[in-house]
Amino acid sequence: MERLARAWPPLISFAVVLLVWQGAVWVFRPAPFLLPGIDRVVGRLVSFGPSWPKHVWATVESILLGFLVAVAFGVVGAVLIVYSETLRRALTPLLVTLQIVPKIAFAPLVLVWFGIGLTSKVTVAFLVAFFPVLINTAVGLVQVEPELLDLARSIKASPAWVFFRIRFPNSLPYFFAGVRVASTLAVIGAIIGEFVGSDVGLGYLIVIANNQLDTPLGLASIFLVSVIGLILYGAILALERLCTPWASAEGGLRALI
Amino acid sequence: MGAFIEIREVEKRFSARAGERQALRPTSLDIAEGEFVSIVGPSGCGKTTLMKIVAGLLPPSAGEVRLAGVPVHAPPDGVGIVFQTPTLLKWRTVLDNVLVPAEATGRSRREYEPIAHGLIRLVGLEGFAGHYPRELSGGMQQRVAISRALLLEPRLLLMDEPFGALDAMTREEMNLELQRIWEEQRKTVLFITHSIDEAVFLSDRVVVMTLRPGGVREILDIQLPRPRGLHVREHPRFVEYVGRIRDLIFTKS
Repeated sequence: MERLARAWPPLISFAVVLLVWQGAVWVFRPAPFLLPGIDRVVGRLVSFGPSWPKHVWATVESILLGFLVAVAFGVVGAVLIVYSETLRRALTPLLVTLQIVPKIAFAPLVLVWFGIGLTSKVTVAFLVAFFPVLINTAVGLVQVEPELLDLARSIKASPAWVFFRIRFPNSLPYFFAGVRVASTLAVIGAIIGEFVGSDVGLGYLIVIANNQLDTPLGLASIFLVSVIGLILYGAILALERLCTPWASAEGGLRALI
Repeated sequence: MGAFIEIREVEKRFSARAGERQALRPTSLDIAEGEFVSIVGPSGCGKTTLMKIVAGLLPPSAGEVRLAGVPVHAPPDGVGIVFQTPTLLKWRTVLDNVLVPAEATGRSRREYEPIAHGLIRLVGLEGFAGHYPRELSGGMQQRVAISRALLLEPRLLLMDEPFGALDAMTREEMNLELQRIWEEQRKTVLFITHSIDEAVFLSDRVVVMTLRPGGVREILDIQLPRPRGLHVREHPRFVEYVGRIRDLIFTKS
């Protein structure tokens, strides 16, 4: 009963958005290529039926590969810059600069380098998703109470013990916050990659639909991209709850940061 | 053969932007085995620095500390530390937190688990062994930290303002508890605090440190019968000690 009561407000906010959309269609009667009604988008979603899997899979593949490579490189990079003073001093200014550079702007160049296909899409997804993982994980490894490290020294704990039993668990909540951001960025990166350099995938479909004024197909593709992103995000959230049960849930907003 | 802890002309300077900053003036102090000694003084008088030097966590700029006759250059065996914050591992239960010193040094868990349970009982946390730190109050977390410091049966317990973050009432309660634990275990305790009242209540001797001039101003023997109850604070001699220490801290020599 209480669960049901808690489910109402979000359902209403979604319903209001859909209603405003459909209401605008009813009242202003725009041409379908400007703003199609929900019924037309659903109709296109169904009629495109058997052609979806190829495109959905291509997009899922680029998102997942870009995301996983970003997580792997992010974690290894974080450990390196935390444990090597030289690397940290050498790389920090570079990383700060790269943080500010809009990685998406490299997408056309990436196409020139790697050509049309999976490599380009994965590279763009990786580029945008990498930094939040690296920086969050590094911060989590470093942000250990100094007194905890004094304690470790006073009991003569080995560096390996300090890493695996203090720094690593301490970094997990930070790591997951970075990974959650990375998952949404990987979706953006993969779609941008498909905009500029692909002949398959939902991002490619969005461009094609736009060119053909097939707006219902474009919106149906956007809907499916969002579903993919949500599933990835939900999976990460579930894994996070499993791995860091001690981290208190800071209200419902935890999912947003 | 000297005292259990010998602090000989120990001094600490830190390099700062404008030359050197003296954190601790040359300080000497002897502590006997089984004694409860408090160091009381305002922030910045060097009392935490002194504790870290005794713990072997910070090298002195000059002077020497000997523990049971052995010069301290690195963290010595047989010393338990309680910090100002509980410094518990949030992802571990109370029991696993208490077992940290055994686990980190490769000792057998099976051997130390009964000891840990005994210590959890000693600090009054029976029934909480499986709880996580976030499920405990600040006072209870500090009790866990005390159990952890006692796990390897140290001969010396260093406590750096362990109750400084607690509210006044919890603090009085923890003072009573610490006295009870000390009566039972008779460890040597070096207790850092900025509460004059707490120092007099707990100690055999109180070392008064001042800011200017820095370092040890005076050492007072606290002659009050033990065990001391809540109402010892109304004892005329208690009031006299507290007044004396306050004068030492707030008046220039």
